[in-house]
Amino acid sequence: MINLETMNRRAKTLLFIIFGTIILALAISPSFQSRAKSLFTRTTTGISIRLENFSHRVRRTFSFWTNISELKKQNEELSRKIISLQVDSSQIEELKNENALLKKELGFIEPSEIGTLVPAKIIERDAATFSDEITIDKGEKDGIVKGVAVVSNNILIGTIKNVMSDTSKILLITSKDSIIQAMLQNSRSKGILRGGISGLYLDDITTDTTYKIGENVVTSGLGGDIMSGMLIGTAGKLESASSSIFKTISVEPLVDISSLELVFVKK
Amino acid sequence: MKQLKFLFYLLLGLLTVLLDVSFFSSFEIYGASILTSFIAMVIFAIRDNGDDYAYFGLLQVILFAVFSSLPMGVIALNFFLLPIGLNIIAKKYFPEPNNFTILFYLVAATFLFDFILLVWSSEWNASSFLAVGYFTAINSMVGWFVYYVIDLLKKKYTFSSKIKI
Repeated sequence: MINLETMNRRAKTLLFIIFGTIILALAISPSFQSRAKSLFTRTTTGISIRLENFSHRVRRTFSFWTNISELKKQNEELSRKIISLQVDSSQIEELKNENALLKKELGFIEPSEIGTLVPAKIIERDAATFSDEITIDKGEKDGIVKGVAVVSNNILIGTIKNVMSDTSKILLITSKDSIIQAMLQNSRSKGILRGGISGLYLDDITTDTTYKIGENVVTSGLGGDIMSGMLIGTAGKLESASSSIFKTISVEPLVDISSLELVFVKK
Repeated sequence: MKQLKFLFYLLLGLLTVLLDVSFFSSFEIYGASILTSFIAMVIFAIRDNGDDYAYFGLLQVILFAVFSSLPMGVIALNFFLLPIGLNIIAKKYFPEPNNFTILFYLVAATFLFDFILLVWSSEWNASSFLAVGYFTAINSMVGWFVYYVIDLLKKKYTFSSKIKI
């Protein structure tokens, strides 16, 4: 007759074998891992969305009380910026008209439209430090493909890393694994935008480049994955030594990714 | 392991991982956030006299591998091997831990957890060390508070049961 202890030991051994097999399968087979992620995410999407919404509500409540004095200062600064931007906008409009006229005269073919933007809700964020990825509620069924750009307010925040049937994983520009071909908008100097826990940096800028702090950093379009001209951030101070072969510039992101709830994927 | 205990582990594991990826991950201080799945793992490893906590560890490895982008080796090291080491030390040197010992365990475990991630990421700069520091501080405090509450409830429940008898 089998006693309780033996049964318990057998059950534990069986459990260990099952768990061990699942872990081995997850480690060895990317397709199994993808299917498992898809299954779990599909089953828990409802709960994830509710938890994510609740966390944003809590964040907003606390940040309102702690940032009241900041808000007044920001309000004044933004009002000044709006006026300055209105002036720039009218000048840009003039340049656009002139550009269109010149292109017409020279017989240029108009570039295709930016493309469709698919709105997506953020349902999960990678909880571990040093890992910057988020999961959205759109996947293969919605026409999402790997490698396309993801924006918020037309500012680049990342690229699609993995696509599953109902969800997709975004590699944020702040991730240490993120590499984006970028350039300084005015000086047109090209470099590589890298992320990491210490911030965003534009590497491999030629030493003869001169730039102003606050200059826009945009995608350069090299490599063909992401179209050129997409705003990423603004140039900060010089981080490399004067004796370096290439310059490294810090980049201030324009979007606070941790407070994002909705993003747009370029189709 | 009893069936009810296994079910409890399964639900708790799922709940803590979901909280980590959908709730606490929005509250970051220098790249560090609260990781309830690891805190639960450490508490089980300290309190468990048997080996049931190891099965919770295996479950957390599976769940974290699904919800996180970390490599399997790092997850297995942090959620399985590290708690086993902690349990061995706890049984051998501090079989009856007090509040300070618990805090020591939590500080050591959370520091090692994030330090392993730092080694994996190879980002050796001041910001990374600051992130490790903040992660250790935040999760040790939360873990200690959770352990204190569990201990208080357990003592109260045991005390009430004794009175009834």
